[in-house]
This record gives sequence, structure tokens and C-alpha cells, in this order.
Amino acid sequence: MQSFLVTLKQGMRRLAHAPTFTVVSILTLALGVGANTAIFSVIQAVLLQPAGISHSETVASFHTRYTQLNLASIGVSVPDFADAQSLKTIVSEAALSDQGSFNATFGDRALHLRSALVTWQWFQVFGAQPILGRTFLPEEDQKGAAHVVILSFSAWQRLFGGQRDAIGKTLILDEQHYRVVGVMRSDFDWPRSVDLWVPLALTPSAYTLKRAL
Amino acid sequence: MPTPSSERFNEFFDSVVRLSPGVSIAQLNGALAQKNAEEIHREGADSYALRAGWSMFAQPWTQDAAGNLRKPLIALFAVALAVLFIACANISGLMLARASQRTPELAIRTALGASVLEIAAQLAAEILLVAGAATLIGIVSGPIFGRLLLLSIPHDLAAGFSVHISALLLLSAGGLVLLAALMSGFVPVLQIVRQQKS
Repeated sequence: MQSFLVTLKQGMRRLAHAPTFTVVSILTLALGVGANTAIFSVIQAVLLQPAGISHSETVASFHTRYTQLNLASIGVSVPDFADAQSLKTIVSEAALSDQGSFNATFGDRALHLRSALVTWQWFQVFGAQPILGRTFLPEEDQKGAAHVVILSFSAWQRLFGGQRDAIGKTLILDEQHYRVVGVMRSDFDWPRSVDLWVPLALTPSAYTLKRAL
Repeated sequence: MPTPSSERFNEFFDSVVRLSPGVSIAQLNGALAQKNAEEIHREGADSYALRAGWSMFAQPWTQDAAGNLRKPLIALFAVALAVLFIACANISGLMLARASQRTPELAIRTALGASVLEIAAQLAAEILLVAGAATLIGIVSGPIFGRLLLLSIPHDLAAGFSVHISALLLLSAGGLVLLAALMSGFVPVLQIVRQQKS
């Protein structure tokens, strides 16, 4: 250890004696390492560990394709989803979503909000935690259940000014009353740029094929 | 002819699943292939699923999230690695030039009793010092440039992603430096050891 420190000290003295060499080589290497760190930091943020998602490597998206119709990747139907969900030993959580939008009335303001209709497991699949309140309960994801809504961080800021008492307040969406039950963290943004999530509330019979036969 | 079940092929939902611990996407796709076969069997002869080439499949979610960003990023990474290799080659050249200048000095050190190993360790220490300083600069400035890079990507592609410094990032930078030090130091050290031996 002692001799290693001595070697290092000598090395430093030697480098100090050749400042041009030292500065040029440090800058050259710094350029190479910096460029790689920059790209790698982006790759990590985009491909490896997107923010707000826990263990993103265990999250899979589920699609269908029609090779004879030139459809390489499209969405899924409810029976497709029920098939995936039935693979209990392989799939721990599965969720569906559909895009939508609402005309909202809030106080004396009228707004157009982008929404995602999701099954209650949506946030569990991503391991996403709310910053306030909670995520959906199974009984809220049923036809005829009382309307509830989870806000995105930015919608919470815009509509409620970031007030913590937003939980339990009511939003009027398409002239229906929705109770706010949760606010997601700002880094959970999936599907992209939605203002709020509401339960998809499919009827239980939609999950089986019997009706179609 | 059986009509295709309208429910089965009414496919417009987005879907995500979380795999059970230790399960791979290939295993999920294997199980889905079984379900595909069951559907074709259920429809019987003249199956719509079979005729249309229908099947269900899964892929890593990050692939969906990254979308069109995936391929350019991998290409950029390859280019950046090439830049690092070129930088290493340059340093290697500089060190070789310096080593030939230092032949008399090193000869004196050998005459005074320094072993070849000690002299090689001396050079290795210099390279590590240079590489260490470079890493420090690289790690501090890298994520800043990474943020700039994300900002320069059109908004609809880059929305929702943000750069964070993490253990994995630091570890990979450290690995890069060891690689760089090894590559740029190997030839000069070899050269000097050979000179000393002769």
C-alpha cells in the first residue's frame, strides 16, 4: 500500500513536469468518456430504466399481429387479455387501457382533458406509486360503480394548484361527477401526456368468449 | 363457415403485463403460442385466426416506450464508443512518443536497481492518473450533455424521459475508464519493458 502511494506520488510529479502532455491526454480521454457517459445516460433513461417504473425489465407490452393482413403489431381484445391474464404462473399483473377524453367543468372553467381508461391493475403493472391518495380498487373497476378519477401530477397542479386536499374533491367530466382518489407522481406518464385515469369498468361477461359463440 | 367471433378480433386496447419473478418474455411468448393454438382449434376448420395469420405476442415494454428513439440511440452509442477508441489510440501514440524521449531516464533508473516491474508500475500509475482525471470530467459533464441531447430530440419522441445519475451509470463510466487505460497504456508499457530487457 505504502509503495503504491509512493508510485502514485511519483507519477503525479512526473505528469506535472509534462503539463502539455498531461492536459492534452486528459482532455482527449475526457472527451471520449464524456461522450459515452452522455449517450449512456440517455440510453439508460430511455431504454433501460425509464423513470417512474419499477423494474421496467419485467414489464411487457402485449399485442396481436395478422401476418396475412400486413398488420405487424396492433392492440388486443378483451378475450386476448383474458388469455394473458389466465397465465397465472407467468403473468403476475395484467392491465388494459383505452384512450379517451373528457370535457370537464371545474368551478367556472371548462376544459378538455386527455384521459386513459384503464383496468384497476394498471398502476400495479408499472409499480407506480401515487404521490397522494391511492390507486384504483377492484370494485371501482366495475360497471355501475361510483365514478372515481386519478389525476396526473400536472393536472393536479393546474386544477388544484397542488393542494393536498384535492383528494375527495369532485370533478365534473362529461357532466358526470367523479371523485378524485389519487394523484400520480410527475415521473409516471403512461400512456403519454394524459391528464387523468379513470376505470375502464368492463362488465365481467366481456372477459369470456361465451357471449360471442 | 364459422363467423369470426367479433369479441376476439375486436382488438383496439393497449395492454401491459408484469411478469412473475424469474420469468422471461420468451416464456410468456411460449405460453401465448399455446393460447393461439387453442383459439385456432376452437374455431375449427376454416379458422379465421389461421387464415388471417392472427397471433398474440409480447415484447419488452421499454421497446414500446422508446419507439423510434431506439435505433438512433444505439447507433449514437456505437459512434461514441468509436470516438473513445480513437481517443485511446491518440493517447497511446502520445505516450509512445514520450517513452522514447524518456529512454535515458529509465536506463538510469534501471542501473540504480529498479526492476522492470517497478518501471511498468510507474507508467501504469501515470496512465491511471490521467484516466482518473478524465473520468472525473467525463462523469460530471456527461449527464449534462445527456440532458442537452434529450432536449435536442423532438418533443414527441423524448417526452417523459429524464436523465438521472445512478450507480449503474457511474459503474459503466468506471468500466469505460479501465478499458481506456488498458487500451492506451498497453502498447507503451510493452514498448518500455522490451527496451529495458534489451
